[in-house]
Amino acid sequence: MTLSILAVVTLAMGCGDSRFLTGRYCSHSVVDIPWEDASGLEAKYLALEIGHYGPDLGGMVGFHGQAHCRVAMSFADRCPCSDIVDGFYSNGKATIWFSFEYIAQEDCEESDQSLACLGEGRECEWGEPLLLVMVLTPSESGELLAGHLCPTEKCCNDSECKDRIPLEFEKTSTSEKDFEIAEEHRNFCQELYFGEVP
Amino acid sequence: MNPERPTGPWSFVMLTAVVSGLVVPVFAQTVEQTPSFPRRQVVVLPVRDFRVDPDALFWTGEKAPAPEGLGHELVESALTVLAREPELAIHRPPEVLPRGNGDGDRGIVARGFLHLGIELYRSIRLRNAIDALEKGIEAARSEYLDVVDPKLLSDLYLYLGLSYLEEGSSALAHVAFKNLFFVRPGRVFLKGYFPVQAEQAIRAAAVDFVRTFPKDWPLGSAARTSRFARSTGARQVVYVFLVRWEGGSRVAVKVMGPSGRDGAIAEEFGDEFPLKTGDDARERLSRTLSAWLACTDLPSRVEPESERPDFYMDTSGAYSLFLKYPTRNVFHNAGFGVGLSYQILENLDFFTRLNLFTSFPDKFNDLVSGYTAFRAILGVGHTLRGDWGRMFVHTGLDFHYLSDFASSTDPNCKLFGVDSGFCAASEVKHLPYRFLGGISVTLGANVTISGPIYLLIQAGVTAYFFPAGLEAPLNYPLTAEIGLGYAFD
Repeated sequence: MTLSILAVVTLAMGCGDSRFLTGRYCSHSVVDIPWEDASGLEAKYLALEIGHYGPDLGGMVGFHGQAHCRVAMSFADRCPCSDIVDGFYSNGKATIWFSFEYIAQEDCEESDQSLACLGEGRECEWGEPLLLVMVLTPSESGELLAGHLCPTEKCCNDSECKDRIPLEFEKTSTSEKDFEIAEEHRNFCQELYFGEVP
Repeated sequence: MNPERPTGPWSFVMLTAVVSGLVVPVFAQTVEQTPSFPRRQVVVLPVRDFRVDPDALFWTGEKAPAPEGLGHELVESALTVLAREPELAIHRPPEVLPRGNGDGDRGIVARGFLHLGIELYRSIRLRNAIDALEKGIEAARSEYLDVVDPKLLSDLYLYLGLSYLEEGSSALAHVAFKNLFFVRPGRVFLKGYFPVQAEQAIRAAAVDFVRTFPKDWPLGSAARTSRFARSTGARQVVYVFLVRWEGGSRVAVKVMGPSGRDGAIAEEFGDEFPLKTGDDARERLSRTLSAWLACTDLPSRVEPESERPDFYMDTSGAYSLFLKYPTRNVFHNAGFGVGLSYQILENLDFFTRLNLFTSFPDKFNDLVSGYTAFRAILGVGHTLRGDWGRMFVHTGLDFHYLSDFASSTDPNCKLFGVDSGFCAASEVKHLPYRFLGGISVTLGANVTISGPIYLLIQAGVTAYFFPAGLEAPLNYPLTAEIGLGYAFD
């Protein structure tokens, strides 16, 4: 009993709201990025795999062809993953930077596409690396995220900025199937980035 | 000069009064602070002078020779020396012996039998006289008249011996006369008062008494001395007697106390020395008794026998946190503890304690891989014990083993794992060692719940100085434990 009390107290002290954004979110609608000329990005559903640890946010951004982000990623989606370069949670807002580069050449071999996503392929030509930022405000429960996708943080915080794209995310359900998909996507992205999953 | 100010003798008186008013309460307070101990009862028996001279038993003339006063002086000397010890209550036998019939007249029964025995003896009703006198002796001994009123008991023995002698039982008469000398060795007789045959028998008994009668036990035997001590409430009985020895005299001093097997009364302390002069005897007696006082187990010197348990064994739930840590927030540990303590002395114990801890995530998950820790503490402590249990302060050497300790502030290391490609190795800080060594201090209590079962509550802190010194990134664990224990001998 003593140990149970200690464990409960300890866990209670260790948790709190410092990780309430942790989870997987999917955009309500396709996100049509107007900078596709530079990137080659087609309209996609955005998936956010967020790890929230106090002031820090980490994880990755995924690009899905269908709603609810349940379709397995593949190279056919072209660069389907991008890691979160930097992220922080402050004053009730999540600010997330992520970068990607898109294949500009239609005839680029599929086997080179993974390298192409990372900008390491030599056979393909690349768009300029694109650093984008999302500034999102979570709902009270953390189930919803609303905000903008912008080329700069300043633009996101400026209501007059024409380049910012409204975004709405919803946390995916916590069914076993969703966990499997999330796990699969994480592994896929790690393999994409680092080769075989350790 | 100010006429209102007291001068001369008055000022001295007032000054004295003021100083007295300050000093006396301080002194009184000092006296009051002296711890009080129960006073031990000691009975000093009358000195017996066994230097009986068989050739000087019968006196002639108008008046019996005055007895030598040395015995009385030695008793007074012994009383004076012993009375200096405040933890002893010194008594003479009449002061502590209960009165037989409760009517305040000690020896009335024995005296009645003596008068009856004498009448019967004179009426030559010897058998009746012997019966009466023996009953008188029995009554006298039951009231310990041999140390309170030896003359009465010696008269009983005298007429008993005379009666036996008249009856023709010379052997029994001999025994009675020897007992007479033991009870009252200084007794002398008017020559010609008794028949010649009786005088010869008394003298023969005196010779035998001097040579063979055991004189070491003041009341004849250990059992009777023990009963005497019990009835008077005395712990020790001081017995001094004088004997002839190799052409001179010796003084024997004996302190009888419960020093025998199973607390039986025995000679606790004794000494003998030659009798030179009265002053010398008093001086030697004084030194002997002082030596005994210096060594005897006075109440203040006797450590109360501990009835408390020597071993304390417990199991506990334990909680720990490090006061110095490399993560951004404190992290917690919980586990179990097992302890064993042995009470070396009343206020000193040796202890050992083992703990098994597992870590819990901190608020930001900077502790990226939980670890298991094993901890052993070995040391000694100061304890304060009572019927309620005991309190302790334990100090000991603390050995701590951590299975692994890794921390990071990189969220990708936390989300994807430290082995993931998303987590750069440089972002993870491992402790370069797994063993820590230091010194711990713990304060705690074992509160008795029922019988040998007790509640353990303790808290402590450790400073690790090995292997990285006090500046190690992980240091100063604060630990609290609560559990149940069992105490036994």
